[in-house]
This record gives sequence, structure tokens and C-alpha cells, in this order.
Amino acid sequence: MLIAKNLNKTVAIGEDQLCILHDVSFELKKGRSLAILGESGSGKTTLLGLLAGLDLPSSGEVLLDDVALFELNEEDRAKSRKDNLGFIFQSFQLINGLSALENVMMPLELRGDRKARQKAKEMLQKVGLGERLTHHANQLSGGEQQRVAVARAFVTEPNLLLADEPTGNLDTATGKKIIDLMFQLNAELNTTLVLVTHDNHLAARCDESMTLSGGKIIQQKQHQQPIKESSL
Amino acid sequence: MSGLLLLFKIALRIFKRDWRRGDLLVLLFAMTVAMASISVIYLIIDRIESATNQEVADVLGADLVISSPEKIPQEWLLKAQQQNLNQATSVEFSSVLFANEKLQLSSIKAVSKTYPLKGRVETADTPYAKNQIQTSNPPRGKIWVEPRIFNVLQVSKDDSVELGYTHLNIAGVLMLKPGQGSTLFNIAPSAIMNIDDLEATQVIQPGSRIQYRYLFAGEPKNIQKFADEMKPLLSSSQRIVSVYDESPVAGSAVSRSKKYIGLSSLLTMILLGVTIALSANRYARRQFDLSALMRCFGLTNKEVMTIFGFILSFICISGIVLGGFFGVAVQEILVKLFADKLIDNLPEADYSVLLFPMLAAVILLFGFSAPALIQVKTVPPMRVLRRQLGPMNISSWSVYLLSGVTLIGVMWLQMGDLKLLASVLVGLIVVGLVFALIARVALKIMKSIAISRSASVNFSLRQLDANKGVTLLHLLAFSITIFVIALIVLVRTELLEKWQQSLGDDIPNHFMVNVKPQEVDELSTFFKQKELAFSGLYPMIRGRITGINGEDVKTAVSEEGQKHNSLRRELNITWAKELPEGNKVVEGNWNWQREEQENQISIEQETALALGLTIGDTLNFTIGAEQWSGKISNIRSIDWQTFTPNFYIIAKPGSMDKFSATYISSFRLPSEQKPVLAEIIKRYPSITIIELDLILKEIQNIILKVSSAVELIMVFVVAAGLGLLWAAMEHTFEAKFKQSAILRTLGASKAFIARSFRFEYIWLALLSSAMAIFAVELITYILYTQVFEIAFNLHWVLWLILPVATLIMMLSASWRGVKRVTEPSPLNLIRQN
Ligand SMILES: Nc1ncnc2c1ncn2[C@@H]1O[C@H](COP(=O)(O)OP(=O)(O)O)[C@@H](O)[C@H]1O
Ligand SMILES: [Mg+2]
Repeated sequence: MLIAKNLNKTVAIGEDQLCILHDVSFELKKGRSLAILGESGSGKTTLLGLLAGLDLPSSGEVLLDDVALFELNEEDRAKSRKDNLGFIFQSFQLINGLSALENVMMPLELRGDRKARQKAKEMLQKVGLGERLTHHANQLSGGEQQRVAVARAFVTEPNLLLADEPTGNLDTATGKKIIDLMFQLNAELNTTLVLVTHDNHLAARCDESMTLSGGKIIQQKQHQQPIKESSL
Repeated sequence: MSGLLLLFKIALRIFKRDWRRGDLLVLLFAMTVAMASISVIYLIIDRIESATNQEVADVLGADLVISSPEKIPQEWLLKAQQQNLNQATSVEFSSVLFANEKLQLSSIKAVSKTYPLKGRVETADTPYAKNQIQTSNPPRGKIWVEPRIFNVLQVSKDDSVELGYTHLNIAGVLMLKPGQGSTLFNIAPSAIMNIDDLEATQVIQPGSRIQYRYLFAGEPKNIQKFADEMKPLLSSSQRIVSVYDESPVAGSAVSRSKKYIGLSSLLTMILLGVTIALSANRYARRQFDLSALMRCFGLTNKEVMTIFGFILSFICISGIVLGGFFGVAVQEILVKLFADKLIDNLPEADYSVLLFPMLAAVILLFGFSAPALIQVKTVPPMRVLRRQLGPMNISSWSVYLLSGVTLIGVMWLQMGDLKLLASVLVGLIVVGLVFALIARVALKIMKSIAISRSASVNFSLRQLDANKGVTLLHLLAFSITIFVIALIVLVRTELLEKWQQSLGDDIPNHFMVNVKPQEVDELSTFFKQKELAFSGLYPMIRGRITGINGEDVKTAVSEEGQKHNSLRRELNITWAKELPEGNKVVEGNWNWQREEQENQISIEQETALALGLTIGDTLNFTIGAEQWSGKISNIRSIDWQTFTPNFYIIAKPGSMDKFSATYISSFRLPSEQKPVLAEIIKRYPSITIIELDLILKEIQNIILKVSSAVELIMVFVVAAGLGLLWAAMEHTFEAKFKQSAILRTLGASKAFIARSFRFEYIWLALLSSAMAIFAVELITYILYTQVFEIAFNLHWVLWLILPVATLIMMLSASWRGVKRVTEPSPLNLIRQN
């Protein structure tokens, strides 16, 4: 269960205070998926950063499985990320110079998982890169890189997966494949999914969607029957 | 615990990755150079110092000499035995030698079998005939006496002389003995006899003035241990004799070269600190993404720090191993190339001295890369979502300061020369502050004059100002490096010149004392006939300081001051109207007050300090049997590097008229003209000639050694400095890739970009060499006046050479780099980023 309560974020630009997130509240039940829509600059990334506890709000709270993130200190927030979170970014963010396998192993190793190699291999096979284990990030195409990132995000079986425009840097077809993969894993592992996008088709595949504009929620929708399959 | 192991494994993986990618190369290079440079310096110091110590030992006749007015306790000698030291004893006293109804007051050494432990005694059958080396003390019943005694007593070899209650046979003419340098003003000629004959003479009675000299020789380590053991046990009248006492010239050459080496290692460390900081900075920049990502994966920033701490340790260990290896190799090569010819049987290197370089390298690496690492730690994890977010702007000055202070602490422990350290540091801080200010102003001015007709000139000037932070960093790095190189070369040149001057081919190697006033003119003509150069004559009176302002010196001077040379022997007092060459008034005024009735004197600085004297104090002397006193009207410093007669006390002319003075002079005598000495002594039997030629040679040897150390270290520091400068240039290309790509997409031509980049380097070269010149002038001023005590003049040549050399160096070093960032297509450049 993910709850956002009255999140506000103000930043100082020179002398001026700029409100980039205004009173954002919502609830998302375990295993469900939420799409955050909005124009560029509407505050989506800011919101995602707060949900992850990467950034601090000016006011408000985020509750992840009843734990108030911002009451924790920096160290405990980090620990909560380690235990609960997975990330997929627009700019893939693979660790350069490490192989696909090593990239996927990294979060497992950080948890001290003894079966890191085994699990990482399995996950890479699942995303269809079983043959590319030893390839380095820069030897993979964009789509492949993002698949490694997806494998890396899911391999720890996170409670909550956050994705910031995961297909933003990919062509449509490849993007669709990545999204399919994400939904498939989301269903298999019962992960709660928060997805930032400005693609309405993609949003339609989520259980819920929410639109931001100027840092405010202007629309919240429950999708009765999310589209299950990619139209492609 | 397992958590730490985990972080270690991850660190190892990142280290391997960075190794493969070459990210670590620059930092590892810096660390290796650091370790190598400090190792080279320490190994060279160690080897040349032990070579110098051998030479010094020849002057002293031992590795260590303890002098004492009475016998030292037997346990002390046992302690020496425990340290496996060889030992010899020499009992020194003044007594009168009789023969042929003539007498001569002589300074007698009664020496034990093993005397001297180091150096040598040379004797001849007749004065100034062929010398032979003696390997043992004279046999019982025999004595070696100086040429002068031969003359005065009119004796020859195998004749008998009377000493106290015994007769001794003359076994030869004493031509050279260790410690000859100290006899400079020991007017009495000396003689060496066997210690076993001492009792029979019965000259040693309770209350007679005797000096026991205990000589020790052995392994340097054991000598050091023994010295450390002895120091606290010595009473105020006992002391360890140093080369200073025996030869101030050699002593000060040794100590100046030590200071020079200290200065070199200090500057090298500063240089290395800058390089390490620069390359750590560059490395850290490339780790921002990784750090943010790991934070995202749930690592606390402490854990991220630990990982990079591990990586740094890996670099540290590899750097120490590689650097140590290179250091040893380079040192061998340098010694082979430069020192072997000059110094025969240079001692082998003692690798245990590498401990300090290791410690220093560790502090350098961790201290100077800490600020960069802290930056990595403070990269906000939000960076994974927003690439542009950089590390928090923490002030890294405190960290640099802390590591700087630690390093200085370590160096101080090592060098023990606070004054040198302080001079350089104060100078550098001033320079740093002024640098920052000048650079800012200069950039502003440059920007505002960016209205020339050439677009690339304008562009380059604006670029420098636009990236003010980076520009300042580069300016600082370049100017510090240039400054260090220039300073090292300059100080070395001026030190060597100084030494050459003081030991050149024309400096006097003989002194003449006891010249009667009426003999002066005759002597002058005699020397002219022989075509010998001969210095002026100084009147000289010998006296002992007995009191200060009427109070006995025993109570008026601190216990420490009691040990000073000036109280332990008779002083040479002269009078002079003009300030003698090599002397400088440091307090008061040289001009003697005309109207004052009181006797006025000028005193040497160190003596005044040791005895706690200031201007206006009155010193009481005993001269012969009479009392005399003089009021201090000024304080002088003396340049001990010169081989001219130097006087602790100079009186106002006229104030010592009641005493009959003798005159002292010095002259240079080539060895083939030695027989002239015999002639002089025959004509003027009362004149004493002191031969310094042999001892001078030994001192020259010492100076040759220390100067080759200075030379070696200079070569090395300059090479390291140039290497680092080259490496720093690489640092400047980083930002240029992107700049170049953007300009190219905007349609600028390759040639335009290349030209404007080159102009940037020209400005950088001019600015940084200007700042370096400023720093060099300021710091040499401080160093010369405060530390090395040599005269300071502005170095105009530098003003021309430095900018030109820097310009050439920078343009050539950047030639390839500029091509590299302008040649490829813009697309490639963007990819590379
Ligand atoms: N640290 C910051 N300082 C100033 N402005 C910021 C900062 N972070 C975000 N913004 C501004 O807040 C707004 C929302 O940004 P963001 O959350 O990145 O939007 P989106 O992801 O929807 O494009 C933008 O106008 C952005 O410029
Ligand atoms: Mg965004």
C-alpha cells in the first residue's frame, strides 16, 4: 500500500519561491499500477523522487506499507529503498563498464544475497537476454539496455517499482516490448507499479491514472478494465 | 561485518572496472609519482648523507666525538662497547716543549693506539717534505710535532724534546691530522704523543686545563643509538662535537644542503598534493552517477563512502608498490648518471628509509582526494532522475587544510626545520591569496578587452571568464608547478654558486698569524716577489670573556649559554674601521660613536643570542693578565661560508691601544710552491703558518657531495614537475570536447575552434607564469633572508624565461590534445561525452 499525503515541494530560485508540487495526495493498493501523466515540467519527476524518498518534500508525507518515509532518517530511508524499491529510468542508468550480468547482480549483492549470480541470470533469461550476460552496457542497443534495467529493477522482487518515462528514449515498438515486460513481471511478482509517462496508451494499461499540471493533480481515474495486451 | 565484506567486493568490482576503463590511470599515476618522488628524494638523501657523514668523520677523526674536561665514566665506554663501537681517546692540553734551551708553548694531544678512528694522520721526515700516512699512534717515547716547532726549537727528526718530566724523541713532522680546521686560530702549534707516556710527563695536575676527547666509530645506527643514550647524560661542560666546531664552512654547507633538500621535498609534496587533488577530482566527477545509483539501490552515504574508501586503498597499495619500485629504480639511474663519477664508493641505499615516503604518500592520497570523495558522497540520489544535479557545494577547504596540516606535521617531524616550513607556507598562503585576487581581476580585465578584431581571441577570452572555476583551478595548478620548478632550479643555482665562491680556486688556503707590525711591509714585498696573492692584515688580540656588565659569566649566562664556543676558549678580537667583508650589521649601527669615551665593540649575532646580550651591555674580558671591557654598540652576522678571518668581537679602533697586537693574514699557495713556507719560517721564525690546503680538500669533498645531492634532487623534481604539468594539461581537455562539439554544430570551423583553444592556452601560460614569478620572488626573498642567509636580488632573467618557456611548453603539450578535440566529427564528440 502506497499513500501520498498532501505533498508539497517548493524550491528557491534566487529570491523567489517556486511551488513545483502542490498538495498531491493519493492511495495505491498493493499490486496495482498507477500511471502519472502530464506535460513536461508538470512535476512528475519531482513526485516520483518524493515517493522514492530520494528527495524531501516541503511538507506532506509518504507512507509505504504504513511506514512514514519522511519520519525516517536518511540512513533508514536508504534501507527502506534497499528492501522495497525498484527503479527504471528514462536514461537507463546502467553502470558503464560492467557487464549486463554484473549490473543486474549489483542490487542483489548490495543486499548480501548469496544467490545473486543465479537469480540475475534467471532474470536476464526472463527478459530475453540470456545470451548477452557478459556484454557491457555500451555493447547493447537502447532497447536491450532498458531490458537489462528492467531485469535489474525486478530481480530484487521489490514491493514498489518506480519508472520515470521508461520508454522515453526508445522507439515505439521497442518501448511497447519493454512495457509488456514490465506488466508481465508486475503481474507475476505482485509488485505495485508507479509509471511516469506522457503516453496515453500506456496509461490506459494501468489500473489507475493521474494527470499533473503545474504541480497539481487535475485528473484522477480508475480504469475499470485496463487494456491487458499491447495493441501491437 | 559481512556488510563490510560486501562493500569490499563491490569496491573491488568497481576498481576493476575503472582500471579497465582507464579512469584510475591518472590518479594511480599521481600516486605512483608521489611515492616514487618521495622515495627518490629519501633514498638519495640517505645515500649522500651517509657519504657525507664519512667525509665529516674524516674531519672529526671519528663518527662521534664527546669532549669533556674530565674523564668520562667507565659505563659510558661500556655502553659504546655494547653498541659495537670502536673507541679511541685523545687527551689534549697546552704545555711547553723544550729543546736546545728554547721553548715553545704547544697544544699536545696524547692519543691512544687506535687514534684516529677516521681520517688520517700524515707525517714527514723534514718540514714540507713528502708525507706518509700513519696508521697508528706514535710509539711510546716518540712525538710528532708541527713544522713550526722544528723551527723554533731548531730540532730535527730523532732529536729529543722535553715535555714536563720526560723526554720524547721526535719521530716526524706532523703534517695533517683530523680536525685541522679547528686549529685555525689555535695559535699554539700542535704535537701528538702516545697516551701511555702521559703519566710520566706529570703535566696533568688537578686544576690543569685539559680536554678529553673520546672518539667513537661504528655503524650509523649504533652511533645514533649511542648518541641518543649519551645526550641526556652529558653535563653542561661535556658535549658532542659536531662538524660545525671543526669546520664551520663544511658544517654550514651540510646544513644548507639539508635545508635545500628539505625545501625540495616540501615543494615536491605540495606539487604532488595539487596533482592528486586534481586527478582525484577528475575521478570523482566520473563517479557521480554510480554514487547516485547506489544510493538509489539503498546504500547509505556512509556505505558509499566506504566503497570509495576501499577503492582509494587499492590505489594506495598499488601506488606504493609501483612507486616504490620506480623510486628505487630511478634513484639508481640518477645516481649512476650523475653522482657515481663524483663520489666514489657511495654507500648502498638503505631501504628502510622508504617508510617515511610510504607514510607521506598515504597522507597525500587520502588527504588530497578526500574533498573529491566527499563530493561523491554528497551527490543527491535524485541525480538518477535529474542528471544535471551535482554534488552539494560543500566547502572542501577545511579538508585540504586538515590534510595539509597533517602532512606538514609529518614533514616537520622528519625535517625538524620549522623555520623553513613556516617561511614556505606563509609565503605560499600570501601568494595563494594574492593569486586568487589577481586572477579574478585579470580575468575581468581580459573579458573587457575582448574587443579585438580576431573573433577567436575574443572567444578565448570569454571562455576563460565563463568557466571561471575551472580556469582558476588550472591557473593555480600551473602556476604552482611552474613556481616549484623555478624555485628549485634557482635556489640550487645560487647555493652552488655560493659554495663555488667559497671554495673556488682562488680562496686562501694558508693563514699566517703572529705577524709583528714591523714585518707587515717586508712580507708584502716578499709575497709580491713570489707572485702570491695575499689578503689584508688584521690586528688580533686574544682574550677570554669573563663577565657581563661586571657580573661573572658563570652566573650571568644561562646553563645552555655556558656551552657556547665563545666561553670555552680564548676569542680573537680585532679592531676595524670598516665592516669586514662577509659581515652584516643586523642590529644597531656600524658607525662607531665618535664622542663616546667608553670602549665600543661589535659582537657576532649567534654569540650575542647564546649569551643573552643586547646592545648597551658591557662585556668584560681578560686579555693576558689585564682586564678590559667594551660596550656593545652593534650586532653582526658573519658569513661562515667565507674562508677569511672572522671575528666574534670587533672593537672600535683605538680602544685597544694598550695591548700589543699581532697581525693575521691569509694567502693562497699552490701545492708546488710549498717550499716557500719553509723560506718564510726561516726568515720570520715567530710567524705561525696554518696550512688549510689539505683540510680544504676534504671540505671541498663534502661540498661536492652535498652539491651533487642538491643537483640530483633538482633534476628529479624538475622532471617530476614537468611530468605533472603535462598531466595537468590533460585535465584541461575534458571540458573542451563538449565545447568543441557545440561550436561545431553551430557551424564554427575546426580552425577557428583550434585557434581559440590555443589562445586560451596562451592566456593561461602568461597568467600562470606571471603568478609563478611573483611567488618565486616573494618566497626566495623570505628563504634567502630567513633560512639560507644569502643575499637576495630580483631574478630578472626569470621574468623573460618563465613566460616564454611556459608558452612553448603549453602550446606543445596541448597541440595533440587540441587536435583530438577538434578533429573528430561533432557527432563523435557528442557520443564520447
Ligand atoms: N531543483 C530544482 N530547482 C528548481 N526548479 C526545479 C527543480 N527541480 C524541478 N524544478 C522545476 O520544477 C518543475 C517540475 O519539474 P519536473 O518534476 O522535472 O517535471 P516533469 O518531470 O513533469 O517534466 C519544472 O519546471 C522544473 O524546472
Ligand atoms: Mg521528468
